[in-house]
Amino acid sequence: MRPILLKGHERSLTQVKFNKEGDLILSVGKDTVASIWYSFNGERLGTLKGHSGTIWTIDVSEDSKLAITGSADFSAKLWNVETGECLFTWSLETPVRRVEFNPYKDEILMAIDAVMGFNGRILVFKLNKDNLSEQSTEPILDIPTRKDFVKAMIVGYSYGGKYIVAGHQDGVISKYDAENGKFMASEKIHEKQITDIQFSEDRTYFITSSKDKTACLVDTDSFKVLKTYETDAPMNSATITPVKDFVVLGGGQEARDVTTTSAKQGKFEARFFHKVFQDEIGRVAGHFGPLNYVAMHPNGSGYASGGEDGFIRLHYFEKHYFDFKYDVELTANSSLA
Amino acid sequence: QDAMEASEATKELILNRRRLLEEWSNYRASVERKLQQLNIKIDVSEEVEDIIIE
Repeated sequence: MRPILLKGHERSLTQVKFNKEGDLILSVGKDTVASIWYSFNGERLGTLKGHSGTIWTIDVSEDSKLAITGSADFSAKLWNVETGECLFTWSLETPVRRVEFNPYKDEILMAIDAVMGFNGRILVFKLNKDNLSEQSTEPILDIPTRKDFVKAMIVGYSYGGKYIVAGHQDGVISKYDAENGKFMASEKIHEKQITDIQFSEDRTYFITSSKDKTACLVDTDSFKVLKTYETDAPMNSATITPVKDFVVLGGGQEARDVTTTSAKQGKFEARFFHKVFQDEIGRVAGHFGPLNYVAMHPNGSGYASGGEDGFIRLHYFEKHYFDFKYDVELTANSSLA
Repeated sequence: QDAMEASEATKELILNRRRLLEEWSNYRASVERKLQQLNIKIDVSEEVEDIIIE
């Protein structure tokens, strides 16, 4: 099926997300305006205007009513999704690299960058749902970057909201108790910067992508690397498909090197791997620059990719995607039946 | 089963995949038991049949 091209951003995309139902897509990029789109036809429903710098990150609440953005303008903003109104702004000491709603509680997680003498930190704020325009600027958890650690730019919540998992710039992942912020474990699993962490549906395992050209599937409790997916280009994002046992990786040659090669050699494709067997099973081309983010439709019917080229490409899968199975998977299923 | 007899290499590959698949389903079963003990419920995606777009 032909992809739906979402045109509206004037510069590179940084993050693209579906809401829980999958009827909306939220996107942010370097053009300081967040966009909200209908996922079934790619029509832009509205924009969120207010930031004055690159927006690095966006998340949407479980009920799709609220959105939060984090920006290079040293602020995070809370938005009313329906009206596009900015409800609250948190002013922070450095750029905000990643934000996430706690799916289990009224809390907001942020990773803020290390610049100008600040080491970077992970913050958790209580979300005041009774009066949305009055939020506390005092975090309930403040986890500074540990000594001997480099900054974490990626954070997320594990199953049950039990842990906060962070991806660091030197390829280390670390884990903290989400109740009290206590450090629990760390593991160096990549050679270079971790660019993305996305959890499985039940949040018991997650996938990391890295500039070291690989992606890893990691168990949340043991921090053991379950699978590794190898590619030939730096990876910016990775996601786990619901329904099917696949993972999707996006990346490509670094933006600053792109002018030295043609789009064909730039490896700007979404790559599909079999989650269990680790084989690459397919690629989807189309972007003219690296893929900065890949996101799955929550019901597994398609995916969206946000590119350095400023476009979002939205793909819905055809029947053969769902039918595709290895022989051993077919026999395993039939022996169960 | 026919493919198993095709060659030694194919056999290796199939056996390896079978092992990986079993490993994975054991892992998932252990995780599901753990979640049950913690009383955490998970919404699982719909069946494939419901989401294919014609």
